[in-house]
Amino acid sequence: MLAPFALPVWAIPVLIVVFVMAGVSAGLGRPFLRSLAVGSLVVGLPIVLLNGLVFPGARDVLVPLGPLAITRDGLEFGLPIAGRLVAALAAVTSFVLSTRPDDLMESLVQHGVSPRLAFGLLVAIQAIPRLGRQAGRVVDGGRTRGLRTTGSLRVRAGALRPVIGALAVGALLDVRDRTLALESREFSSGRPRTAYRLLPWRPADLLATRLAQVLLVALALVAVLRVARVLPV
Amino acid sequence: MAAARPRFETSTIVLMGVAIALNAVVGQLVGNVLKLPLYGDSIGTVLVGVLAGPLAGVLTGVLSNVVWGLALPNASTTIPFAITSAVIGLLAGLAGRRGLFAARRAPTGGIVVAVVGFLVGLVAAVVSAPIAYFVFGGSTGGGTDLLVGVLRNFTDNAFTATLLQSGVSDPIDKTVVFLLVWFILLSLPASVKLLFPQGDRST
Repeated sequence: MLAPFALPVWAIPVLIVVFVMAGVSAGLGRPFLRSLAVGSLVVGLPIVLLNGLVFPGARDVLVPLGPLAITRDGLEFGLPIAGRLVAALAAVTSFVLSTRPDDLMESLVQHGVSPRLAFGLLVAIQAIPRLGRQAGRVVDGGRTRGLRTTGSLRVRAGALRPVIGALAVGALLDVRDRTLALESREFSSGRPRTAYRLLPWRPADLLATRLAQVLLVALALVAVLRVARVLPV
Repeated sequence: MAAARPRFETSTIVLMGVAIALNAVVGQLVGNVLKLPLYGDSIGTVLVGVLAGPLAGVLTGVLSNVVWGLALPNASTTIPFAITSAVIGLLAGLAGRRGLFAARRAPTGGIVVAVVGFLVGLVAAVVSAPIAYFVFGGSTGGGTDLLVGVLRNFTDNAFTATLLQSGVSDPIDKTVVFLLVWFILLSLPASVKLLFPQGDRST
């Protein structure tokens, strides 16, 4: 994920191809490609459009479009930025879609991350869809009692406090209940935990980890050398 | 080594998890359902900062951006803004520690909270503008891009346009978020606030 930002511009297309092939070879298939395509459009297109069409000081007009114009200076600035983000997106998407969050947390705990912190992260990942449904219920409940959530800016802003207030207070009351439930199960006793899912750690995993560590150090080195102008920017 | 690490209480850990989710859900609600020109996605970070202290606020801010990337891959590009989120969590934590959100200060306390929110927004703008410019080329992929595009016509520098956009959007957003947190804490029972390490400062 850091590689697109550490390496020079010419490496971006190579990285995109490598990350996409990694995702496809991991058997992630259509959901991976769809997610990546949507993400690339949502993230990349505004950057290319904004800089290609409106770039202060740009004179080298490629395509005049009425009051606006696509300029070479704007594209030279915007395209590498969009490319780096699309490459990073491909790396993250292939990682996220091939890794279960609870496996990731279990593995992090096995390698020294605090189990309490890992638990907090899992709570967050699991709470997002639950809280999202709750938000839908709060909005629907408000509407049935006459709350207006569409219309002028003033009307919509007026819905902010009742909707978000109800959602947040509900979430905070839920925090209290969960805390009590956890304490009744000796969450903070500090004794060894029991796990439902055990992750085997194979030699190939070790090899991949070491390889990733070496790559990370190499990337950091390249980034430092580029910033120090020892390597070409 | 293990003893030197700061150890959060169970209530703080759960609060951080729920707050991260709250950031994501409120961000969606504000942008997609109510369609307001605000972000709203720092409400959980501010809540944690006020109730559980600056360190918990910083951690919630940073982890929010990471967790969004894990839950929704398309949100992973917001990870660089973790720095801004951390600053917001820190400042909210310090404001909470000073007792600015104390219920006994109502109703005039709301004005102080709004002013502090505005100032935090200014700091957030200064921190996030370089990130938006250098990582995203001035675009953050939202309705604010339109504002950046318009501002670029009035300045000869693309970075200034991004800084101006942040300088307009962030203070308004953080003022609203701080006020929302103020109202939420006013309606929260003291017994719930007291579960958290800094909760007594907001009773």
